[in-house]
Amino acid sequence: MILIGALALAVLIIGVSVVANSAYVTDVDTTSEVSPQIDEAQEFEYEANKGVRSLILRLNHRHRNLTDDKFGTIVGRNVTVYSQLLAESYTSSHGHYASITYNNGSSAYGSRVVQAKDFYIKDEGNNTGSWDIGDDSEYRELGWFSMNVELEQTRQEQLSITVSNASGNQVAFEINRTDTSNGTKLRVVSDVSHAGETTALCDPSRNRVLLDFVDGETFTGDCAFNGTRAVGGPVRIHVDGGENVVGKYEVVYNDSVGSSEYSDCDSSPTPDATEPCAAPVVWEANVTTEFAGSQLNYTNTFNVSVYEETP
Amino acid sequence: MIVREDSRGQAFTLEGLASALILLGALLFAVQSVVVTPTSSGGVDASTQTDLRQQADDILLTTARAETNDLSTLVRNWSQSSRTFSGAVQRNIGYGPETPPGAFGVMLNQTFTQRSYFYNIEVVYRPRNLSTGTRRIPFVYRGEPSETAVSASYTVTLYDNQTLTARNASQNVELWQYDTNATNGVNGYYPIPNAVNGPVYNVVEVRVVVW
Repeated sequence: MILIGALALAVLIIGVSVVANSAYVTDVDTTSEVSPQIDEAQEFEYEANKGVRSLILRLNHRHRNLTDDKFGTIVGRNVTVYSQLLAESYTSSHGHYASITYNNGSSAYGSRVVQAKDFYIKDEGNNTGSWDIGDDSEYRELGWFSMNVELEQTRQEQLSITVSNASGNQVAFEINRTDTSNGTKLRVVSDVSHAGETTALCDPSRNRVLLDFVDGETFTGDCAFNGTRAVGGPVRIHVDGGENVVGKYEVVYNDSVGSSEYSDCDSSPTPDATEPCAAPVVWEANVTTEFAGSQLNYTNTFNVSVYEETP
Repeated sequence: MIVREDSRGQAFTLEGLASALILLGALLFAVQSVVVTPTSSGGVDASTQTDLRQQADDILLTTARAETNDLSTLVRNWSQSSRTFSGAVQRNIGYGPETPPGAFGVMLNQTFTQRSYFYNIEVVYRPRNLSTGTRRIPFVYRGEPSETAVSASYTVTLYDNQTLTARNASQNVELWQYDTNATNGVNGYYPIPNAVNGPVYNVVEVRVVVW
């Protein structure tokens, strides 16, 4: 009986050890292949999204006198070049194929009002310094609003910019040059209708101050004020005292903005760079990503928001 | 009667001895067949390799998505005076035995160095002529990897209008303005070239090898 019991116990021990080891080895072998490919695919999707957004953002602000079609062609060509670089990188590092395709027909266009050279903040033809960037009856999503101020020619009198939404909330900016004991600075007062006023004195770099009105800061990050994010939803922009500030600026809306104050940048004759005009931008890019590995293959079509919309 | 009981006792003893031997043999077989996972440097088994690769991947992913000192910032952290990464020991070993800057270095140190693993990191970039293959710059070099070393990598896109991030680097000089020729320092030197036309400057790969 003892011998039979011992034999049974020995068989049980050997059996359990064989099964446990088999399960462990199989587990290690199966997880080592598929899991990294899922990680790599997720990394590729994230980088493709981020990369396409960064690339198109730069292209949006690089060109001025192009038609929608021509601009779409340029965006497509640049995304293809970017895709080739990414594909080479993924092939050499991971042994996978990855690509990005830009679908111009399914992408949404917006409008960029741009004054590309230093001048007063006036309408086309420099007739008036009191005007609307866009139509005063239209509210649009604002994606970008920057102004590069040339401080030497800017006056001590104020430029007023009012950004308001359909609910009546608004943020009013007052900008002027001010001479302090620490040198000449740009004074930016930002008054939010429901949140109060902030005043910032911004130091110039090479006699210029680059303002980001959306985030409420200079691009160097050393000067902060209330931005247009304080006013939610679609907005319109009104300018007063445009003759008091000299600089260049860019405003991006999510749709074309009809206006009698400026023309399209691709119209004939081409508007002077010291005058505002409207150029196309890709507001939301439709892209298709393709990933092909030994364990994982897929194509994915999605939209990339180039600009962050205000909440 | 005494003889019969003696024989029975001997039989029990022999049976017990045989049973003990059988059990001992079975236990020995089970112990010998258990998969052993080494935790020290040198050769590592498949399970440890998977863990190390996943940890390196996680560190790269976390750093790539960080608010500050992300992978792009680290790749552009180039010193004009030492012609290697800012704070690095030497050009041919990068940070070598030193910990790389920022949270990236802290994570590498805690995950690998403190557990007696070694790692190399290199920045792989595309030259201007794409047909000539890739080039690499040592970011951290700590020796020749073992045969069981694992690698993880992350792809970073650089853009023309970005600037170098080293403390003394000019914020008014964009990447495309730097010279890629180390012997001609007129316009400053950054070895990664502008690989293509358009806003994209280069697509580089940060590769970590752990063993």
